[in-house]
Amino acid sequence: MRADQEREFREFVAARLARLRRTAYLLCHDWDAADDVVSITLTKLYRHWARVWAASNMDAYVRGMLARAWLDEQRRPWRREVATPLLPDTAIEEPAHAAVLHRDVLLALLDSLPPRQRAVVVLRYYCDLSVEESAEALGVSAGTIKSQSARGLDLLRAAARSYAFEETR
Amino acid sequence: MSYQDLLDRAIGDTEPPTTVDVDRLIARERRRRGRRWAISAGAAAVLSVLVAAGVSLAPDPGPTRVAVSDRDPALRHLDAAVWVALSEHASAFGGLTWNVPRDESWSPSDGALWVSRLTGGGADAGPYPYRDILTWRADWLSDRGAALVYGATALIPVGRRVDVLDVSIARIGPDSSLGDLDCELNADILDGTSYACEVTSGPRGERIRSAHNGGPFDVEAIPVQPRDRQVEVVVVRPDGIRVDVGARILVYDESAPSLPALDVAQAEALALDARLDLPSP
Repeated sequence: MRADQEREFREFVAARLARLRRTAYLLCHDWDAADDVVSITLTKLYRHWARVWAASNMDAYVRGMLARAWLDEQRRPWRREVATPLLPDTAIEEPAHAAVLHRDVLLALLDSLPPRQRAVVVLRYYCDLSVEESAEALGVSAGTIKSQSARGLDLLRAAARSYAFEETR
Repeated sequence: MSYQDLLDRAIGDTEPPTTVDVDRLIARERRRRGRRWAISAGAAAVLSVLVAAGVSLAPDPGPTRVAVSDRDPALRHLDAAVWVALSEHASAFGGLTWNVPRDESWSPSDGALWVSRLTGGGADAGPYPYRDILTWRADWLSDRGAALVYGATALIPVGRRVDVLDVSIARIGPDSSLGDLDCELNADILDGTSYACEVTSGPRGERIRSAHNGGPFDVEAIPVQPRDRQVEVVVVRPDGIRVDVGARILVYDESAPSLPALDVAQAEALALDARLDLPSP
């Protein structure tokens, strides 16, 4: 990598590291694991800097790299998670009673989603990627993103209602 | 409150200091690149000697979009071997021609991660927005410590449908987890579906994992998209060479058959082909 490219890389990372780390935390729910995923992403970013630099939406591209790095890590036998098949009933079915739904519960709800669906939720609703950008980032069709977003959206709506409820108490 | 605000609140404001060290990352990548330059140069030198001695390794891979002479001799050898094996084991792919844009940043000069791109039937399926997706398998092997990785990707139009075929050859260490083949991958979410997987042994002591998703099936009531139907075969040879062959649907079209053009038997024959090999270190 040329010196000017390396300077660009450093500037990019300095400006985005905190946000990337928070995004990774939403996926991992563990700061150490989040740092691992960010490191893997930055390593790939460094190796393919020229290509990423030419991307039309560089931030979306890098967030997609982050989500794919995390999904790859899930496939490693020692990192594989066992996704619970159902969300806790109380949070989804009766959001009005979910005043106790604090941040740990929201993170637990995110954890309960299968990995790819969790990645979709984070890319769509935290990173603000479009359906098409999310589809390209994860290598799936737009239809898959839409269907996997639907359940995640239910979760976020329930959480948002509970937060609103808490704030008006 | 936006969903972004909500999720930000869920993360909280008390983050521990990061352990990500950009300086150390850059230093490590500089060392890695230096080592891989050395390996690549050595392999190319060995093959140049073979070519100069008149050892014909494989026929020319056919018409190209860039002059074959522009390419690394080691890469030419691998391109040709993959092309011949494909033609023999999967005749549907006999019409593939090489399509290697000049701007590919993963050219041989980039080190030991080599990726070639094929296109099928005389038609060009690109430019394609999934460029990074096309190379994920070779990237994945490289990122997990394979010493040398070659990857070839083909985009294959089947009517208006587009399949992706990828072939990766990697040299893995004796203790590498890349040599551990099992069928647990995805088993948790695909249990009860038409996902099938088995690990067997090959005629020369290879270990083979063969898997396919036949679809249609549901995972938690979410219909799996046609592009999720795929065939994947991994072969690990006793000498530490790992060959991955995968075929999947990238662009679905209702009027075309809904299974990838490569079946499991063809993928196994391809992955077991001894011509798919890497230069010795």
